[in-house]
Amino acid sequence: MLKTFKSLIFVLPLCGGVMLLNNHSMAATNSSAWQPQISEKILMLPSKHLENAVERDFASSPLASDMQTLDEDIQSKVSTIGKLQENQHLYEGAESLEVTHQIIAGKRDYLEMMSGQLDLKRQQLETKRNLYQRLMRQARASSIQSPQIEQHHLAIDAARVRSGAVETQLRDELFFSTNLEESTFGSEYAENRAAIEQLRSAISDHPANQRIVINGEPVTKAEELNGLMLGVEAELALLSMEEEVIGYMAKLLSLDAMAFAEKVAEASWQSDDGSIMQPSASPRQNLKMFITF
Amino acid sequence: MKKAFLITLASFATLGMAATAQAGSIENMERERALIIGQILDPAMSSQMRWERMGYSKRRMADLERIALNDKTLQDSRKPSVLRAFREYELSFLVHAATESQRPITVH
Repeated sequence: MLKTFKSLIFVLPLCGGVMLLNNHSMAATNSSAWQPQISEKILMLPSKHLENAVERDFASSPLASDMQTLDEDIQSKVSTIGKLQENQHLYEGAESLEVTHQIIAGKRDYLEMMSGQLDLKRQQLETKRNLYQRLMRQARASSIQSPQIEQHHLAIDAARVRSGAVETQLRDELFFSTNLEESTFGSEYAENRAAIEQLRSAISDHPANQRIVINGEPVTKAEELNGLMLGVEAELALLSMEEEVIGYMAKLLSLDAMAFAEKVAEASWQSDDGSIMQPSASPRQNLKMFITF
Repeated sequence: MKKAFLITLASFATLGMAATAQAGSIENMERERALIIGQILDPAMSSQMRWERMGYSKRRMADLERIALNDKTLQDSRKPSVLRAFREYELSFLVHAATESQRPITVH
């Protein structure tokens, strides 16, 4: 009897708690943060490596640590609720009510933690999106050049290509036409040039340096970052759906809690004296008390 | 006191001279090119001497052209002389351009 009453005391605030779950935010959300420590030099990396570097930076943040701790708590809670649900049929009467109460309270805790986890996840994704936006602005700013500078760079590149194409021919010609020994600079220049060409070739063939090509055109850094940002936006959209799932779970749980409160109240009322209340007595039943003087 | 002042002044003057003596790769190349053109156009020079001197100058000019072509600092240079040198490849990189056109420098 006392136990049932106690259950009732716990169940009533439970209903209110579950109803407020959607607006509830965990204290951990406020204390966690991820402030990316990545510099603009990361833009030099291929996109896959860039993504990995961002993930590594996140993994070392307090936000990641909190998310992991919370995830472990959620797993533990799920396991506890599962065990209670498995063994629920073994109990009867007040004990059964107590187990039901524990399950509902466990589910409420689970939803609270899950809501907090989604908040942290949203924080992570929004920080990542802002980071990609910042990097994209940097990439665009560095790729924009004045037409004059662009023309100058093109002229230098063209000159290097043209001179490179006749280099061997020039060495032969200098050797045969001037009858002079090649200069120290000339011979060392040729050796260094050959070494540079070999290294350039090895760099361009390296698997880690393979650039994404669409329709024969290599994808620019800004386009790569745009692709990564779209991925983050997709994850944020999925997160909104998960929040909706949590909302429905909370609603279902509040209905469970209300039904359980009603069940507990009914059981409490019936067990007060073990009988249904008698209708009130009529005055005529006490008539004798008045006429006998 | 006066001596120390003179020494300091002389040191600054030496440093200043060293700074002004430094020339860019394009300027060095253009100086050598002017010498080559001078040799080509010198009427007092005999053919034998011209051939010998041209051989030496051509080799030197090729090296100076290579230095200018691989000078990374020119990439960000805004000097008109640098811009003009790369735009007018045929005239600036005389030895390379002459080899490309398969003609002697004098004809090119």
